[in-house]
Amino acid sequence: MTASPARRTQQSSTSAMRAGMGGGGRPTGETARNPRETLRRLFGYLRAFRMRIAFVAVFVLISTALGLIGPIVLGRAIDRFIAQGDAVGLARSTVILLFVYGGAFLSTTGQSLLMVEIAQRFISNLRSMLFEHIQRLSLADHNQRRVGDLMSRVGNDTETINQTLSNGLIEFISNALMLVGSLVFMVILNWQLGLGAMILLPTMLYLTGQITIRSRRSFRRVQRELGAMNSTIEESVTNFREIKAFSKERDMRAEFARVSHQYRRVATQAEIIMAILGPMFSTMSVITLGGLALFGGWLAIQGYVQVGVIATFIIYIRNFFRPLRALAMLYNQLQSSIAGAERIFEVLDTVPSVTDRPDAVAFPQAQGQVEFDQVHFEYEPGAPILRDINLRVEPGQTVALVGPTGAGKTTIVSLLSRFLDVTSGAIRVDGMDLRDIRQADWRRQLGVVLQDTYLFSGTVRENIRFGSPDASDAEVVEAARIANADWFIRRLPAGYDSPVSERGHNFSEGQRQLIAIARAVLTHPRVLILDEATSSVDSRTEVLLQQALLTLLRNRTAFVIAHRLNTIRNADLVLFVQDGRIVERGTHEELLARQGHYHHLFTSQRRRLMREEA
Amino acid sequence: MKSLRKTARFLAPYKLLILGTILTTILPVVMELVVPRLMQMVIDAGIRESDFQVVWQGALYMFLAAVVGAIATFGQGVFRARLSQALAFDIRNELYQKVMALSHADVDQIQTGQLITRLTSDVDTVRMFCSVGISLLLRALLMVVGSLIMVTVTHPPLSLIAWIILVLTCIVMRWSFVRATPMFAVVQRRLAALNVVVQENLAGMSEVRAFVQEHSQILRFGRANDSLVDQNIRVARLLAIAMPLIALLTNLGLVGMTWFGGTEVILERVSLGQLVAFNSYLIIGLTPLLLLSGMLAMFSRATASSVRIWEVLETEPAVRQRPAAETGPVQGRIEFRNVHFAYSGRSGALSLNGRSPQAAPEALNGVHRGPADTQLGEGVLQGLSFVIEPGQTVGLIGATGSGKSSLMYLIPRFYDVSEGSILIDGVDVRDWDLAALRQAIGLVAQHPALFARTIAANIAFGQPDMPEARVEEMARKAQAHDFVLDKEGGYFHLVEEGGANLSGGQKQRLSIARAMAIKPRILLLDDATSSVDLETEAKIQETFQEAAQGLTTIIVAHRVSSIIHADRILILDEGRLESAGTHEELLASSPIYRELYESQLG
Repeated sequence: MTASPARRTQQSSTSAMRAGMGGGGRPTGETARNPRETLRRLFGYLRAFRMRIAFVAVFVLISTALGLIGPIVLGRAIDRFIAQGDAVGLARSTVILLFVYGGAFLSTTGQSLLMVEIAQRFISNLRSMLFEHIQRLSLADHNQRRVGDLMSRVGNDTETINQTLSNGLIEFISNALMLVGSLVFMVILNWQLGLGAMILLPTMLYLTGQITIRSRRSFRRVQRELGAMNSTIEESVTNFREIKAFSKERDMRAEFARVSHQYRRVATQAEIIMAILGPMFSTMSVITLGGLALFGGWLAIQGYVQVGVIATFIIYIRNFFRPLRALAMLYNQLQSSIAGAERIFEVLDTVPSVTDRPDAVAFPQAQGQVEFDQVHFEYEPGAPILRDINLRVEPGQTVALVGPTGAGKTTIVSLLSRFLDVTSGAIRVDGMDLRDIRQADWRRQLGVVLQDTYLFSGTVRENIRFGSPDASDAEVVEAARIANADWFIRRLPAGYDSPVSERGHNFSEGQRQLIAIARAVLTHPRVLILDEATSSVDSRTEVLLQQALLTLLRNRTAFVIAHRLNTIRNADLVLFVQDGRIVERGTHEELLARQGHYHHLFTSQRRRLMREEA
Repeated sequence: MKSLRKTARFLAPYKLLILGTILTTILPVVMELVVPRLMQMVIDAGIRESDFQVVWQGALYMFLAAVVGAIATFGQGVFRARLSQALAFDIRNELYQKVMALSHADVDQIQTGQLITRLTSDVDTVRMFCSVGISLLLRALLMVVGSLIMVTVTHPPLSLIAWIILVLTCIVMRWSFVRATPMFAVVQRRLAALNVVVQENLAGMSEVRAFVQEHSQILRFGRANDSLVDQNIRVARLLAIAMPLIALLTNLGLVGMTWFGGTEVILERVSLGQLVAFNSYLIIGLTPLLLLSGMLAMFSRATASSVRIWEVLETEPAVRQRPAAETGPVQGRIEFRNVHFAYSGRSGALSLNGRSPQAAPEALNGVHRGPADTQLGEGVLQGLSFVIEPGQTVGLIGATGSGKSSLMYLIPRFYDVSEGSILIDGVDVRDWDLAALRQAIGLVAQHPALFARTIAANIAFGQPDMPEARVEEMARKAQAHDFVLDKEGGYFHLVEEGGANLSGGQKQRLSIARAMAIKPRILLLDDATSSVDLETEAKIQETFQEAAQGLTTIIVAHRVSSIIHADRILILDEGRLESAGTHEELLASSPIYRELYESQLG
């Protein structure tokens, strides 16, 4: 529970990449928990676009109406003018048709252009909202939710909603209107034939429903097998070294072939179910046309209906099945979207566990006196991580935290940086409770150098300037010089403008640390938090690093999770932390003299050495 | 495009399925094309002549056509699903096989996430295109050609309208296709850029919070987000115009048909039934084109995906086995002869993050990602020479970045030397049979990776048919037995993905048991005791000594205490052998060693 947040975030970053972005829109067969509420909220956000949506609605109505009128004009032209040999009437009908279809084109184009913009802007807003909210969450909230998961919410879930919104929804509404309109017009044109067509509707709806249910089930199975396949792939890449070392390539191939085959099986089933959908409708339309020929033909011979009406019906019936098909397709997509929206709202609804109090005060200039008063911390009730931490540090003092892994050292500094809030007790800076100070104000006076230094892609200069974007170039160079980073930066091909790749992989660990120190120097912190790297860097850099750290610590209150003897020796106060308590405190010499835990830690290595040498 | 065509080779083994798919695509199209003809018959010979017999027959034929069409289309669905999934299955397996055949130098370049994407969604995109795309294309083509033939045969002058509309539609489609393809590529790039922002933000969360940079991060995200959205809108607008335009063309065809066809009917050169049939053919022939334009996005995505797939498939493994390789058995003498090594960074082969290789900044500083140690400058190892006799234990010490882990990974040929050679029992490692070589080497990595299966299966990883008794014996040797028994289910306790339910020390001990279980001749131990507490450290070091007995052992150490008992200690500094000797010798002769010793134990 006490692994540093940075480390934990990094652990789950592979899953972040697994999730990636932009792969959304694939039906997953999920079910939304509370679709009505979610939809209500979604539409609430859409309200910002209500004017444009109103225009879209008008356009949809117009294009649907025109789409319905077209076949009627055509049918009338056949019956009234062509069959009667009226060329003038035919010319008139042709002109009307031109206008009808031209109008339909304009309104469809207008509607799509508007909708494209609405959907994209809406999704963009949703994404930004989500990202901004993630920035407000505290690190403790993040630890509960894996990076990959958040990543997929920002990416996939918004993309799914986008697809539903930009393609599906409008098409669905206009198709539904078309369906109803076609039915109404058919009945008006010829009630006998129209009613005949109507009988088809329930049958089709039933079949569609059946297929939809089945496809949802199989989508879910596909999703499950896909998950299994993904974890096999992930394992084989992350454990690549082991597979090679033990020559297990063949076994892994066999295992992959197995999960891959499983996936193939369920995916084939799902695809067959989906493949039925399209042809089913076209077959149905042919059957309906047959029915039309039979019934319509009979009616025509009896004189109840004219040929033009039949021609109109032919067009209508061809249009009739499109909405139904879209309905079946859309249903799954809609469900996935709502489930996606629910996940997004879940993040948006997370209340940050560390927030500014409404009456939090500004805190412009700290002196650096820090006090822990009966500090108690637990993630879950009954499982305390820290107990009875009492501590008073005067401005300028250096505190070294030592102790076994998992003892709570990282938690102490996390509380001080307010990445977490104390469960009970208080941390005071210059006598003020940390929780009464605005987070941003406090953190600006805090310098943090973490063990796993994270560099952002960009240039070296941008990375040093990270915490103080307004710093001048000269200040950047000065900070780098203080941090002993200047010499190696200058040796880079582009100096301060040399690119840093993602995570700073193109720099050595030592260089990354030097850059991180420069970054901290530039913010002129009053209080410093330092998580010393455990592994040593190459000897030349090591010396530079030590010097840089000493400069950094001078005249500043500092909390150091220390691994180096030099640092511990120079500290004003050494705290030995074990099982969430400070079990020993004092200077290095005092603690050694006490012959307790610290002494044990310090001498155990030596004792073992002696034994081995003996 | 070219890479998509290459993908077609995966279709070769499925000739029957392909034939079935084609036949079952053609049949329903023919059936659909027959229907307007039947309708025409019903109208002209039935309704207008008041002959119900003809109407009845026409309807019957239509039903028949529908049934045949239905059966055929269902068959097509089955054929297509089987074909496309078989295709995806083959591509996936070949990709995976390829990855397994690659060497570390190649795989270092790909991120896990990248690889998963390539094996799943990229394969799926190509599959979708082959399945839906090609069958749509075939169907559309058949529909267009069929309708046109029917119209042309019945009445050549009127068919001119259909031809004109078809040509116009093709022009519109080509126009939007040519314009949209590069735009889609930009969308993909911007999406990747947005991904990087989110990814970095989440991974560097502590830094963002500590330096109060939430606001600038939001701005950065906003910029990436806006540029993606702008491009998305640009593409979508193009389609928003192209699609209705194609629909308009179809409708104009209908209007033209009504006018010209209508006058022909009035002049009694065309029957009414024929006119109705013409209209149907126009709709049948041109609506599939509308669907085709929806394939634009699918096509460009499939192209991008197949490029990524072929990138992996065409990567030549950096480490390859020579024919007539030495198969052992291994005695355990290791010799380094003037070994130079640098991570070659084959970033040209597999681009990172889906970006083009030249855009990858990795290459810019002349530095490439290594597995653990990265160093700015020239080679990681520069001219190393030493010999380790069978049974000797050698400690390797030096700062991070001095090349210790790299040196170790050269022995089982995870990487190949850039210059010089490494000999095992006097034979160059490149002349050894890879499997024989690796089976003789037990490796315990600094951060050992375990597999998501039982503890027993993890110990028996190198030899799955290992008897239970031996698994336990190995665990005892590695001092893992006690904590294993403490776990629920003991040896059958399931290790979680990434070994998340085990501590660092436990993982290390299990990996020692796993390495010893294959009865290696050479043991490579990368000591990670810096990340565990002292008690665990002591335990691990004891097991190291236990494990090393009688084997040629190299221990990569971060602390002097781990190697103090070694027969010989090699000190690496910046890729060179600084000095070598026993603990006492080095204390006397090497200032670096003394410095290390004092800083850690002073």
